[in-house]
Amino acid sequence: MLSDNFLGSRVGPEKQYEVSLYFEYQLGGESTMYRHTIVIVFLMLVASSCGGGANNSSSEPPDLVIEAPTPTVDLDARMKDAARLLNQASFGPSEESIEKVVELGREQWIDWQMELPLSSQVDYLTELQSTFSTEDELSRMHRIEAWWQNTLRGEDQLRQRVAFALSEIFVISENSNFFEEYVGIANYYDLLAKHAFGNYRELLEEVTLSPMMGMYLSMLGNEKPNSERNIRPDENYAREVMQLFSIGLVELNLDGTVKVDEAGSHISTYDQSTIEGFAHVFTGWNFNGTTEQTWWHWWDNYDALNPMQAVQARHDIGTKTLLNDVILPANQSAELDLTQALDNIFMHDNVAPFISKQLIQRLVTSNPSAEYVARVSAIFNDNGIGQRGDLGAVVKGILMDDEAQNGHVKHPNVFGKLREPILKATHLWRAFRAYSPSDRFQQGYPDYFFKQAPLAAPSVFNFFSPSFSPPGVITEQGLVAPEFQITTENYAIRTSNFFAYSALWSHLPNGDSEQVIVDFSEEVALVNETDDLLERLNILLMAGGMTAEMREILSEMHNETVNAQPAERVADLVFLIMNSPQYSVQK
Amino acid sequence: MKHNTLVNLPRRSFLQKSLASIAGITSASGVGLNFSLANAALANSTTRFDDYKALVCVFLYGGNDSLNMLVPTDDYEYQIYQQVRQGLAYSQESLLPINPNSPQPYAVGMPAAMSAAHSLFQQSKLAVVTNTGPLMQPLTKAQAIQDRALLPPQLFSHNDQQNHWQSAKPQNPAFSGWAGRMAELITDTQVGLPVNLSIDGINLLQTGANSSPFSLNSGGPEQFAGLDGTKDWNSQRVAAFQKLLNNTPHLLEQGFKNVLLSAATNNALISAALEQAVATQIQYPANNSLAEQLKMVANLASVHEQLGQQRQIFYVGLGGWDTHDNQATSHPRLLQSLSEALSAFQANIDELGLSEQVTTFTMSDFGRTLTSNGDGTDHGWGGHQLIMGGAINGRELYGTMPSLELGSDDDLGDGRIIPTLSVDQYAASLSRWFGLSETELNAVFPNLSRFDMSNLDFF
Repeated sequence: MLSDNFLGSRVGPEKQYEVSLYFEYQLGGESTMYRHTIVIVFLMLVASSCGGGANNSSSEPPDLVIEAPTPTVDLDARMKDAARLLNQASFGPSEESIEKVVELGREQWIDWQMELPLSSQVDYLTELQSTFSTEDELSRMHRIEAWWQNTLRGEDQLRQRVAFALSEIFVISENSNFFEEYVGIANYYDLLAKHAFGNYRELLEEVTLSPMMGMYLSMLGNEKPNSERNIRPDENYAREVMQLFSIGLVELNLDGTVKVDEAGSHISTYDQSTIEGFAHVFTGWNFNGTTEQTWWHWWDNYDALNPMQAVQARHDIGTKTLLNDVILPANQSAELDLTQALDNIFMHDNVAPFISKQLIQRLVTSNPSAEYVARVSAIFNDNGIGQRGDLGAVVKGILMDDEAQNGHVKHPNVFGKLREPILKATHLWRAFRAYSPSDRFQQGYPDYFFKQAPLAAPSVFNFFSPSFSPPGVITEQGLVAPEFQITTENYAIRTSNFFAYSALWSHLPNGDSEQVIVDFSEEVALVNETDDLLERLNILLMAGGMTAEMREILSEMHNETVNAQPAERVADLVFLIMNSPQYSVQK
Repeated sequence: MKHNTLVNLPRRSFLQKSLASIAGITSASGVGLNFSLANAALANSTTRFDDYKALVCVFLYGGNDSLNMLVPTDDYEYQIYQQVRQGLAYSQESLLPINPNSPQPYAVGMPAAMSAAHSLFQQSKLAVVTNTGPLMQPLTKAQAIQDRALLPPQLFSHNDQQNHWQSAKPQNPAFSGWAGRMAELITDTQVGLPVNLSIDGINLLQTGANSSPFSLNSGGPEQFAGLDGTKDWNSQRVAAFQKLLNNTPHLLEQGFKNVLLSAATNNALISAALEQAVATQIQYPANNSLAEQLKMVANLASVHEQLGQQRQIFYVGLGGWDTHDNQATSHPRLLQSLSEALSAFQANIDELGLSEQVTTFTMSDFGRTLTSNGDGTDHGWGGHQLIMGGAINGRELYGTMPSLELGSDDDLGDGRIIPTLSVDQYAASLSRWFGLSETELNAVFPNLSRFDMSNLDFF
């Protein structure tokens, strides 16, 4: 409703709300800086003379002429836009990050983010280990702690968020025989973060040659056929690299819709013989440093960090039939076979829509329009300077798209996605400046609350499927909502309870050095200004999407609790919002 | 009954409101239900039955190499087996021979790791349904080679084959499972606690056109910490939350609200009922997630009366069966976990006096290749499934044991075995016992008429 006013209003604001959001921003070359409790101004039900009535914006087209707009008028919208972007592109808006986006603008913020150096989990673990006494050992908790550290404190928010999305596509999981390979798993996550804005083809190769993926999908140690021992190549990686990491099972149009043949049937992208072709390609690879003689001595060669290496003697040198009937000639090296096979996958028409749509689903909306997918796919296929697979351009295309920015206005009842439960937790802790006396985030088992933890899916099929649709109206409308696959009654309650433990009961230090404490001091300062407080929470948590009805309900409750401690009153509001269906759907 | 969660509203008020809202309810989600109605002592009504029965699905995620659960014991067939399976073959001496009631083409035994299941078999509490899998119609090898359109869609793909097992509707994208459709058929309303209860999360099997399974963990239902209306200090918060729930125009918001409502209403019911469960004397195996899940199943079965349920369908699961590598080590461990969990569960069910009323069955993505990739196997097709309980005719191998010879008429290639029984036949036999009429069976299993059901009755 507020946004309806901005373009239509030339008159000054009638009412100003002071909200303690610190920021600096620029408008029209004129730099304005506020470094105190600044004034956020927005219009409330302005009966303006130019037809921009707040509740009646459809009665007359808005007046698009903006004459030297009052900076403050624009600011509220810009903060909400910034928060919306940060919901899509970070681990949750904070005051500081909103300020930065407002300062730079959407596009420049994205560009700036893409230049930032990687916050490395391996570096964090190395650093942490250096503080250990001799009997301390790295554990799963430390690996998860590194993830919290980077997602909560890392400046490279966009890179980390895209890495998280990639970790749900190029899945490896600690639920495997390498559960205790904490550094190796962290290094794999770093690999995804490193290539988040790089080229998909390079990422595909690094993933393929990662010893972690090699162990996870058993390409590592995969041997050429041996008729004496009656063995044939392992088909695990060959199958999943196509089904899950690149092209999927059926042919797609550029816009992500499924192609059909004359009979109206789906068209398979490959069959069993194609898988066998790729399975033969992926023979002969083992831990870095393995030789023909040491092929079986994995304990001598074990290396969870460096890329796998080929041992030609173990590689099948026959011809291999790949996608689109491409045939690799006989007698090639393992490396050349691999290069050409990955090129073969990379050039398949499905890669652009298959990867682009999933990235949109992970960042922006579960049900992107076909046009949106097509626009991003086109960028995947050509970044504007003739390069295919530029993930940075793809990510930017996703976030700059009109649908990402205005989908909530155009499709108010379907646009968006159910927030991943673990991303609700990062949001709470970022928005309310979580800290710990130990200066570490030792929440080692997020999966207890959220059925999610980084690189801990039950299988290579991730925590949820991109095509999952819960029964009832969502299915009936032909929509998908992947995150519902882990939203059982049980975990809905546990997620709610996380907010009870953290928001309601951990905003004051309890003496535990490992406690993660949320800081409501900024909000407490507004506790007697109900409208201001709610507007602040509206921006921080809901990107301005709080309806008047919701605001009214919260306001009523807040006014009923005047006798409670201010921090408790704030905690109640935060808890209610973050448990609500309205917040739970990122729009 | 103790009220465990949320607001303690008088029952009369609940009944009035819920009856008023039933007319408008289009899904199990209970649009119109009140979040704070913690005492919703209603299960989905199943008035057509006056007895109690339960089905328990044990899903083995990843594709169990089930052809290695029944191994030839006679020299000639064992040689064939050993030749094909190489390093993955069990030694002939280690096998535990079984004596099925009906004659078989060749004698078989179970691996030593399955000793617990082996005893159940010998006690007639367990049977094996052999060479079962997804099929579009009865299929010969010649047909399979000639016309790929006769093969199930996306054969050998994990999730597609899981979906086929669970939906029995391979032709279209499946949005519902056979247990979900069955539950919707046998219940009069979709209000309250569903027939389908999952201890392993959301699954297609138990999903109906308009209903989801109720999902809890092996530790039992959770309680809201910050939205517990029975605590005075929560009441304002809970009241405000209820108002928020009434204000959700967005479709995904509604979906999320429905989960919260189901949690709020059903957890109280289950928690109260479980307080009356009697602690079992049976020792379940330690560090066995399947055993933990099954223990909760036994508890829920024991309080079916308190829950008001004449029919229950349970879902539990165990992962790790996708043994592309390290199979010689990992697969026997999995079989042992499975066997010991099943054995303890059956003992618990016997202890409860529910032997005749609870039938347990396994499903898995697919069988695996008879041939090896060096230290593991790849995705196959047909495989064996276990069925267990006092109602079944145990100590039996149903179906036809396949030839284990490479290149046989059963082998599509590399030891991917063409099933001789379909998922539809397997599931329909279970569903018939559960209480579906022949007409209803054909409604739940649209492809059933393509297969011969005349000689397939496990009970």
